[in-house]
Amino acid sequence: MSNILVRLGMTTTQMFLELIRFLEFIGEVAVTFFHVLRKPKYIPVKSILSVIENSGVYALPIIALLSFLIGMTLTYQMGLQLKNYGANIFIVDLLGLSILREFAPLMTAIIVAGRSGSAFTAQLGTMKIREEIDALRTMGVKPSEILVLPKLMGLVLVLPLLTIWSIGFGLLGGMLISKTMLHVSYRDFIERFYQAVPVRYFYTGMIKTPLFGLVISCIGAFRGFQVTSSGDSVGVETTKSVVQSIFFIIVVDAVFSVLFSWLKL
Amino acid sequence: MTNIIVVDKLKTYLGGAWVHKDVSFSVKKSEIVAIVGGSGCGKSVLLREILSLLKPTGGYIELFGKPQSKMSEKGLFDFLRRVGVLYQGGALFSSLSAFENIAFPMRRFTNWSEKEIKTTVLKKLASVELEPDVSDKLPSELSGGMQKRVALARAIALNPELLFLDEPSSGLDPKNTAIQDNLFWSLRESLGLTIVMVTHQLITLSSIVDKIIFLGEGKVLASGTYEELKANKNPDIYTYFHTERVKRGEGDGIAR
Repeated sequence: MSNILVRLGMTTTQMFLELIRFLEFIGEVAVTFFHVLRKPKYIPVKSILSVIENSGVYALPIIALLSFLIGMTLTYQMGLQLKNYGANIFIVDLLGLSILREFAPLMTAIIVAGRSGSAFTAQLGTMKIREEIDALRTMGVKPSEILVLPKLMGLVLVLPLLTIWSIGFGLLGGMLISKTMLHVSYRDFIERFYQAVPVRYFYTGMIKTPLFGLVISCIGAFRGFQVTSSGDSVGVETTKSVVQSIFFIIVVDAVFSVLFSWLKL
Repeated sequence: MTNIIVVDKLKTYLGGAWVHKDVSFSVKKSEIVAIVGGSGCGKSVLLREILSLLKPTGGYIELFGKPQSKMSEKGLFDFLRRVGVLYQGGALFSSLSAFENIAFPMRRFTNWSEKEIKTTVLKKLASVELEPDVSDKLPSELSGGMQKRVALARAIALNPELLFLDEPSSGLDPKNTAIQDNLFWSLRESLGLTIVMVTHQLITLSSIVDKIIFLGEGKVLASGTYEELKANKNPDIYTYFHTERVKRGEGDGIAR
């Protein structure tokens, strides 16, 4: 019995300490961010571009493919129901709502968390084990400045763009199945889309994406710095990084849903 | 002679145990000091604390006459400018070439022109006996010993006044260990460099080190020259300096 209590207590303190370390980390990153913002010549443009290339450009094919498949599956499943009522054309309304507001932002963020969040953690973790982080510090460089900031700025910039890409391919997949299964022609689809899907669906979906980028980069980097000197812990932290990123992406998404329903958006 | 480093009553609590209970010593200018002791006695931790990478639990550290606890961010930057560090595994930045690694502190701390940086990098490479063609290679394309030498070139890139070496001879063959020891000696002789190292290499301890600080039980068990420590009767120190391996090593002049 006491064993359970002891473990509960230890886990609680550990989580609490981790929270404090995370806040400390966020604070340091924020200070560095505003410091760099004040002196724009310190903005690490080259590193940001490399993050955009690795986390953005190279993710285009996989995001296109998965979004296309999701668009197809969604249309197929919803089409089955709509067909019963002969309400085929309403597939456009449903697709517009679900893809623009939820599926594209969430899918993109989850794919990026799996691809890049994990890579950030593994990279920083390995650098920590190889004492490269210490070496940076003893050369007067804050690791948050050259290692965290480019990732953060890169992802915040690239995630909205990837989401637009994902919306495009999701709708394409939907259009294809609408035509073959529900006999909604491409032309009808596009016309209905203009009528039925308000622009605010797009905005409400897009406004979340920079935040997702922030979540993925901060958690990815933070977990990397938590790596201790064993090779084991790179694996452990990388797992934690992906799980926590996805967890918080969904939490942020839920918070936005509640917020939007309050604001009647 | 002035004290470069003063450590007084240093205490460290780490991972649920006291690593240092009461560590006090000082390092004078142009001295070569070695910190030795069994594994897990907090040698590397001590180095990290002096370098402000880790905050000690208690005690006082003074660097170049200034208390570490009162150092501002600017003060720390100025201190780091005067210091070179050689890490155990080299700690070269894996995404940068050997050249960029050695140039890194120059770009960070100085506003030298590209030309000045280039000549200095080549000079430093020569001083660790590496060919200039190494400079374009990535750390992963170099052997362990070469990485170590590039890392040393990076550590001495800005002619530091104080050099920290964490097991400088690990991963080096006896020949390169000897070359390295000669280099340390000549740096001290020519530039008045102060060196603090963590090492297990008895040949280094007996040849170039002025003072050995023996850590154990969370404090400084003894400090003095190689001969003084060798004559020490404390069982920990005695076994450290009198194992069979050591005697054989001394016989043929190679530390193995």
